Amino acid sequence: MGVFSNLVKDSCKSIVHGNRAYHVWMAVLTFIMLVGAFCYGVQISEGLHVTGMTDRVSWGLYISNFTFLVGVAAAAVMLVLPTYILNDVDFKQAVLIGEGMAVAALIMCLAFVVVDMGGPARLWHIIPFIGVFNFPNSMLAWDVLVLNGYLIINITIPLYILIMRYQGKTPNPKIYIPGVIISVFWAVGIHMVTAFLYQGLPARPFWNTGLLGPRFLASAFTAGPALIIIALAIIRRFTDFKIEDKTLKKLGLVITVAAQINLIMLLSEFFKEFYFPTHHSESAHYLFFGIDGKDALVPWMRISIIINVFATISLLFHKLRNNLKFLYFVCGLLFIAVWIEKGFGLIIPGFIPGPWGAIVEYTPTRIEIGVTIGIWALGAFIFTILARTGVQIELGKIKYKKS
Amino acid sequence: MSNNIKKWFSIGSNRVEKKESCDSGKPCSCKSEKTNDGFDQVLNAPTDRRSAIQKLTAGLLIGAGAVSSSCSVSKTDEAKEISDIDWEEYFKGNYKLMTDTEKQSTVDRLVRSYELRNDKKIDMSAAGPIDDVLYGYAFNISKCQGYMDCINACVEENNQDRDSQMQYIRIHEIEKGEGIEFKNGDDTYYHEVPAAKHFYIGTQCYHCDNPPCVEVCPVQATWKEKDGLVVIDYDWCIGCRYCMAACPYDGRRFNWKTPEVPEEEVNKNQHYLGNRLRKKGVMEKCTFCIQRSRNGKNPACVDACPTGARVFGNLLDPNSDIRWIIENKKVFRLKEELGTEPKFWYYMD
Amino acid sequence: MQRFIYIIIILTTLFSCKTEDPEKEYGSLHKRIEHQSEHYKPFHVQNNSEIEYDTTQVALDTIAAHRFAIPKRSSIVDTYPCNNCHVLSVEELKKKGGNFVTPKDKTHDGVSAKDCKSCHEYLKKSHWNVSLNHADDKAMNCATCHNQEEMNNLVSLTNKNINFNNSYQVCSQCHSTQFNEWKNGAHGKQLTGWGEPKVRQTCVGCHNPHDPAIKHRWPSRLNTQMIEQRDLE
Repeated sequence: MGVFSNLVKDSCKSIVHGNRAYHVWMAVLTFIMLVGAFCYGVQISEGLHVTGMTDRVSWGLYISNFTFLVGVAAAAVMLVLPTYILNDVDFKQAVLIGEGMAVAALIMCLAFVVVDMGGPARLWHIIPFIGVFNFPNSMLAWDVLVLNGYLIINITIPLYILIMRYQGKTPNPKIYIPGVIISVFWAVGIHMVTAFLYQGLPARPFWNTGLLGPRFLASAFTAGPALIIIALAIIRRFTDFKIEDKTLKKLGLVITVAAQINLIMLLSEFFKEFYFPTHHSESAHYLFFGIDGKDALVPWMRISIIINVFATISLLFHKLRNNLKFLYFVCGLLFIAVWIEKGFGLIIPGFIPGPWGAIVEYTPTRIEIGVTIGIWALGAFIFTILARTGVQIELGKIKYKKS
Repeated sequence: MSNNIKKWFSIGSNRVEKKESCDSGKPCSCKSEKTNDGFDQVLNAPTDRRSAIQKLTAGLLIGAGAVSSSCSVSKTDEAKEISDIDWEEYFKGNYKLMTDTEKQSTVDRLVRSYELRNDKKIDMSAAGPIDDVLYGYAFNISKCQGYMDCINACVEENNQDRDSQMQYIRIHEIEKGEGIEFKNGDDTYYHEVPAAKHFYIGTQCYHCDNPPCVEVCPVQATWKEKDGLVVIDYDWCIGCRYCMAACPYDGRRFNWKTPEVPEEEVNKNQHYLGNRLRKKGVMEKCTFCIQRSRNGKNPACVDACPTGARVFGNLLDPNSDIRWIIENKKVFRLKEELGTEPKFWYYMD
Repeated sequence: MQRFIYIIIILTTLFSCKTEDPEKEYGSLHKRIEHQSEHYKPFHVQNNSEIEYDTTQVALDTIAAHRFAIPKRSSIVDTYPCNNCHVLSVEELKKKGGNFVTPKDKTHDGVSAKDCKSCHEYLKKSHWNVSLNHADDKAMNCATCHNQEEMNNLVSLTNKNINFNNSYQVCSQCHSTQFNEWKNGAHGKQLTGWGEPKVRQTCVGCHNPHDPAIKHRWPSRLNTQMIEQRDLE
């Protein structure tokens, strides 16, 4: 295990050395994280009433981001499937970055869940055998299991591969292929389980549809690879790591298909809510059109749908999709569109109107926004560290030297 | 092994002892000789003085905070006792799994803690369910005049937060002619009642027989007791608010900050699962006044209603009022199609 | 490899079946109530200290549900027994020429009247302004309920004596539906807890028999926090 400690030492060295742009980036992220930590400190001492959440809308920005990021984490690993199973060499470069992104997204998810808790000091109550774990009845218990399991898989498999490469050896397929296959199915699992969290509540008709799970998967495979394309583009520009054009183009194809499926599912939901509106369609009505003048989310959804449709349609054209600059732009658009639609465009309307028809709108407070941005910065920080280490090992810049 | 598991659910002291038996430094029988496992790596790895000192300091700092509060020389006896109680209360298990002795000790600790902090005595009970009792509740829509006396009584009886005006009960004023359509109703009216052409209907936790909130709690902090009451262990709740999302009847309330009750208004007859003082970050809800109903009394709302619109009783007693009502009046329950089986019926004259 | 995956899938499916709550063996709440009430034993409340009233037992029929207590009206009404003032029956008083009140009471000296309304409507000193606002005068007057022979008691529609404490027997003559609901617990206020023995409030305990309509009033409280939340833009 001297190898591992050497790896840690070497990667620490590589992390703290870099060009000016790199240092500025890390410094900005650290500052934002500290702001987030301060805001969280205020939240812990005062209680959750410093957020905008109320008894009517009891989940807000934190859970919205959590839902979105589980999708990103799940999709990141779907790239693994073609690489290792179909032996598609094009994706090989993207895989380590994808797994790094999955780890960063998962840590962000766990962070969002912890900051949303009313009693984080009592979180040990959920640990199986030490506390009381309500498995298999509670979908939250399932979620805890699958997310942590996914985190473990996504740390151990790439770690194994990296350590092997670090030592200049080839990783043994017999060891990592089973883990990789499990992680592919597990990725689908984590997102379905997170969808089931909402889907299984008959009290909230906006979520209680059969399509929520598949919608989650479709939007995850739109937003996750979009983020990976952007990350790969940055890595391409700032390091020597060679990522071929065809990798990016193939990812673009994945996104195209997923975006279309996402749009079709959205259309299906739209039809169900508005063809013959019932009492259960009130939430969708609030989301897209507002009720009684309360329409805080309407402009957000309009933007989200417009850019979603624009991006999906424009991706259909080979010429546009294969133009990498345009691809990056469209990926950014899709990421934002799905973040809105699946984040607070899903969670908040589930609570409005309340069980007795009360319409209480939700506006996040500055503390809430501060903590959210802090956690996003944390994710970016972790991803930068992991990507930098991974890339440098792949490039052979970090090698294990027996001292 | 099962013995060990049972101990983990019990109060802290047992568990602490259990942990210490396999702590660092002592030879552990569960370690195998051949493989180099985690303990060895940490303990036997070659390390220089600097990192060893760093690790020791970190460990000490973590332990010091907890230890100092109980072992400090400068603190008074009372403060030490409060810290001791807080320590034990933090590590106790889920109330549902406690034995009767453990339940009584936690109640004693809470009573003592209140006495030390506020110099006043409270009466807390850990009374269990009475045999052959299943509580049911009926609400007469024709009789409710919208007085909200029930809400007053509930807030005083159950020590709810005055600052955020937490109320378990809501009374909705709905115009006649459009059915029982809550979205057209208003529960923040303030005018002479009963208003012409309106009727009044109250909602609160219905103590469902198939409660969705119990189903979704990840730590089983809320459960249905044998007498049908759905209760919460406030010390076990982690504040995830999943139960609040799952409740179709707006039955649950969350303490977004520390609840404040003026000292002279605190109801000193408390039950562990009922109206004892809660802390911030935990869920609470109507308990059918468990501190009263397990003593043969009616909940505060039932007693406070001047028109007799609220009826409470034992569903298993064939001669009870509530049984007669559900068998003879045209009763209905709200959102029946969700399959939650609430134990709260509505009827009209 | 494939076998391994199949095993995992099968194990996951088996393991994830929901553990059935033993309480859920009933299909519905109705079945649970039916089944569990088969071996029910009546529950007697230990402390009844909340009852401040003097009560009297009511036994309407042999069903246990119809055996309960009601507060004694005679202990609550300060001016009971009516005989303190109204010594003679109405018939005797009419023969005497109109003085309804015993000569013992100096304040009523010189008072003469020919019918109920002259005292009960215009003179504030007698019975504190009792005016009858209950049905119309085709259905009701004072003699409908009050026993003209024995002023302490009430009377039925067929002129049978009814004890002052059993006023429900008078009300139930017209309001038979409400009476049926009252004796079964669906109407009216219960003064004790949910166990045995039961004490129900009488009709007159809530409804003033001379003016029974429920009055308007303002609600006890207003939740300003809720209003703030709802209006939040």
